[in-house]
Amino acid sequence: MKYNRAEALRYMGAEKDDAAAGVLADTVYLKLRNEVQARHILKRSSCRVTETGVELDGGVTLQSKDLARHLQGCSQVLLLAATLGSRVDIAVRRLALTSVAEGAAAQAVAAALIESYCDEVQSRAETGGLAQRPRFSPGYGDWALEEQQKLFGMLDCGRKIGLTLTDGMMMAPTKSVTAVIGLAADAVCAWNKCMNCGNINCPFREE
Amino acid sequence: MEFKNLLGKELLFFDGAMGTMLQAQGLQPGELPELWNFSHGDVIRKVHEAYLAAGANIIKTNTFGANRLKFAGTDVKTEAVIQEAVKLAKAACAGREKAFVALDLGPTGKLLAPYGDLPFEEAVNIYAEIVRSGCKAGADLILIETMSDTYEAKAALLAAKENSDLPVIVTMTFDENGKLLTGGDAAAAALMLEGLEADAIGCNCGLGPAQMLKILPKLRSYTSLPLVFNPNAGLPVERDGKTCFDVGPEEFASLMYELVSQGASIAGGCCGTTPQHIEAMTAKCQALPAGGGRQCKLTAVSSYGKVVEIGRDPVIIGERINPTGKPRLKEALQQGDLDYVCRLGLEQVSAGAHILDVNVGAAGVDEPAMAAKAVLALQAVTDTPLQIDTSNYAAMEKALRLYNGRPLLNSVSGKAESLEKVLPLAKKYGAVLVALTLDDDGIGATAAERIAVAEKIIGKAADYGIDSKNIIVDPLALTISTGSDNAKAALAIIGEMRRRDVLTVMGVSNISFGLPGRDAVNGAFFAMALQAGLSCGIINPQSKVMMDVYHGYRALSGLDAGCKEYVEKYASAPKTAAFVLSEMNLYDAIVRGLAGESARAAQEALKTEAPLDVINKYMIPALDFVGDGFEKKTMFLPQLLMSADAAKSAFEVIREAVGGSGGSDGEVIIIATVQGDIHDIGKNIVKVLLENYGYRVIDLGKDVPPEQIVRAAVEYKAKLVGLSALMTTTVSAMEATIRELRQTSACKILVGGAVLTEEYAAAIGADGYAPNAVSAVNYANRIFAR
Repeated sequence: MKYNRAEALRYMGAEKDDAAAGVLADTVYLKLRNEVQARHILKRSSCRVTETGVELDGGVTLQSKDLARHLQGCSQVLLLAATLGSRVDIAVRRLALTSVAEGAAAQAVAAALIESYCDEVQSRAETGGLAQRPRFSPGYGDWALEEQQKLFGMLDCGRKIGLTLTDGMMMAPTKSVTAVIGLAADAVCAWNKCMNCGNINCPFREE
Repeated sequence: MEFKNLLGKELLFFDGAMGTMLQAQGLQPGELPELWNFSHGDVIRKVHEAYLAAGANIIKTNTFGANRLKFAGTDVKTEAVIQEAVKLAKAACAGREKAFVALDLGPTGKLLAPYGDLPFEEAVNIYAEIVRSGCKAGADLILIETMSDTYEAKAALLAAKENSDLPVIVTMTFDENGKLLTGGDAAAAALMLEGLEADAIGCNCGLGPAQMLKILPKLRSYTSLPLVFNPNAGLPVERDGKTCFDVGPEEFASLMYELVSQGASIAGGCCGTTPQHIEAMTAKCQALPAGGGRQCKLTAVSSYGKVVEIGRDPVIIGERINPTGKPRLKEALQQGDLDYVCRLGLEQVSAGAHILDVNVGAAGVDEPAMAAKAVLALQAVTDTPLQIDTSNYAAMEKALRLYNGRPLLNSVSGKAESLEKVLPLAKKYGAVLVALTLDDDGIGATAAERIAVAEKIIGKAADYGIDSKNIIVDPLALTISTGSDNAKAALAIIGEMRRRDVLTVMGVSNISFGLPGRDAVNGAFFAMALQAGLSCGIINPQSKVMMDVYHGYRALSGLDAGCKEYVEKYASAPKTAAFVLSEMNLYDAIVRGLAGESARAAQEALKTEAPLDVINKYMIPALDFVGDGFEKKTMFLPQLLMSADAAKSAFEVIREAVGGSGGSDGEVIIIATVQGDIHDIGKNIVKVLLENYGYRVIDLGKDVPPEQIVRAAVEYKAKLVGLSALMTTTVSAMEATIRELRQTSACKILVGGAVLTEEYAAAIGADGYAPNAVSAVNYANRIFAR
């Protein structure tokens, strides 16, 4: 899995050319890489986009106007769940105990790793010749975190990749992603994942 | 014929998949299959009957996901589901020979704390409810299956053992590398499950039979228990949005024949297998014997992910987590500062410890509660196995129970009370047990007297069913300053134990108690003990002399082939200790974020200035400078954090210098990540910064219920409480916490977290909002008028 240092630095809140932060990120990456146990589930479903949400196979409806807008023109979707595994959480905690700088860097590096991993999984995905839209996850825009449960139900995340949900709808292990990826005949999509999100105060927002 | 009498003696067959069969009958994705026990009872019974007709001896009840978490918010009663399922299975078995009903327990669907939010004892309770219902309904055995976390498997197995007398089989789900989804491995899982007295263990799901063939040898070498294999019909393949399994009945049968030939005692199937698969398998394997009756001679302890074998190669047990004579650790324990305890552990692991001794008994410490917390905290940051070291039986049981693996327990002695209290605990929790060679008459002066005590303990342990291979004898090193033959006696016992194939462990450094220059004696004694056959040395792995002896001994005794590890260790070591004359003062070292330099500079400064002056003249101004730069955006988060680390290392030097009480007299601030939230990096950064400014931070951790925060606020008469929440879903917990705090405490409440804003913070009733760690410190400084 590719280690994207620039992305890690962005998550760390560092400047692009911060050499010390770069060394920190690299050091931490070397400590994390052997703890990564990346796994994923990818499932294709047909979809019917309505005003307020998206209907999937098996009668499941995802409720979100923003998601519906994002999936305009898509006939199918890929449902994705991916995780770096719980050993990464243990390692991040271990690093944070002896150095908050390494702990925070480890958070950032792991976040960059799970994003790269999702990109790689998507690039290998069987799409039946259709083009992929950017990932859209619960918590983006008006898509409520509670909707995670529907994705977990459809993908059987616990049994297949050891990914679980807490009562507060957070994913455990924490370095994990669930997402819906629209599939459409045309690849045109004006928005990247950040611009599609209503949280304009997000510190990681990319213009 | 009872199941238990057949297990391991006669080859038995499990059934195949239930889910696959129900999907073929119209079960929808997302629909709970366990509810079909009521709505489609006839379908379920027919599936059972089809498998029995195909030659299966054991059928799994349709209860894989039947637990109270799954049915929460519905009017479905877990007990009713279980009873109906067992009833259907029993009806299918009625009138058949050698047909058994296995009460099926699957994963809860939750990750256990601290990485998820399900507490260990709650998991035990969830499984206990299922076990009681299943027993009442008349199941013949219990199957705990598809476990991808050793900790959850332990919870289920304890529940099964504590609530029934039925035989229990545990099967785990591994990946192709032999790893569990949670990172544990087959050997570690096997050791733990055997210790907890599972009746048979093995694997199911995840893999096909071909891949399980690669895991079988590992299980064989780490357990004597009968082995069980319930593979999928090959690895899953995604086709047109559907999961398919491609290994057909004949191929499946041939591969299962291999598994049985190599030692399986029970064979069956999981996802994708059908009655045709089971029929082909039973036809092919029928004539084979069961693979039971193996004897695994190995002595080993484990964590969730690591095995330490004892007896072949000397084992280093790190001794430093023991407050005797260590005021700084004692203070940390009294204040509940588990981070310090964990750091002591991690330092020893990087110095070479294979196992960590954990002793948390000190004046003013609730030892059972602290033992539980320390075990949880340590196993959350390291997979190094732990040695639970206490003479407090309540603490012993708590720690053994919560330990995620096969523990080493220090200790039992020949005293009547100790034997009576400790042996049952060691048996129940599968501990490898340290036996102190003393009894109610005290410590024998001669080797012969102490050997007699060892014999007594081994004999008593056998009465409880504890194998002598799991007893490790401590000859007791008495200081040579009070008796010049004391070393000789200990060495004689070690030698005699080696002749008898009994393992030994010893706290080495006690030999020099009362002498000056203890290292010289300790090092020589350690070498002599290793040569005599000592299996485990309880030492300080951060002592250069002791580790030099260890590495030298291994190279000399042929344990380090080609002196490879020795060369690796010493070839790159500096010829003489690097002599750094640092020009940098503490202020600069902190601003530049250099932790090592800061510690050195602090030491230097303390030679001429009072500790408080060092803090006020260098540390605080440096931290202010960096914090200011961060707010003005001339410095960024990584620099801020590196400076925080540097200041922390300087602070630790100052604390040591003033005898460990550096942090206890500052103003108290309580911080916590609110209930439901498991993200704590932001809170941890705030904690370190506040501590650097001299505040005494009571860190309640993450996922903290409101009442616990209120209790702490009252107990410490806190003027400031800091709360963190990451997600919209947990801000409501933050609001509830604030509401409850307002009723009992006049404290100021500061909040922070990704989704919060100034307005949002005000709306939920907080006094202040901190968008980052520096502003949290500034807020605290205002409140305490600094």
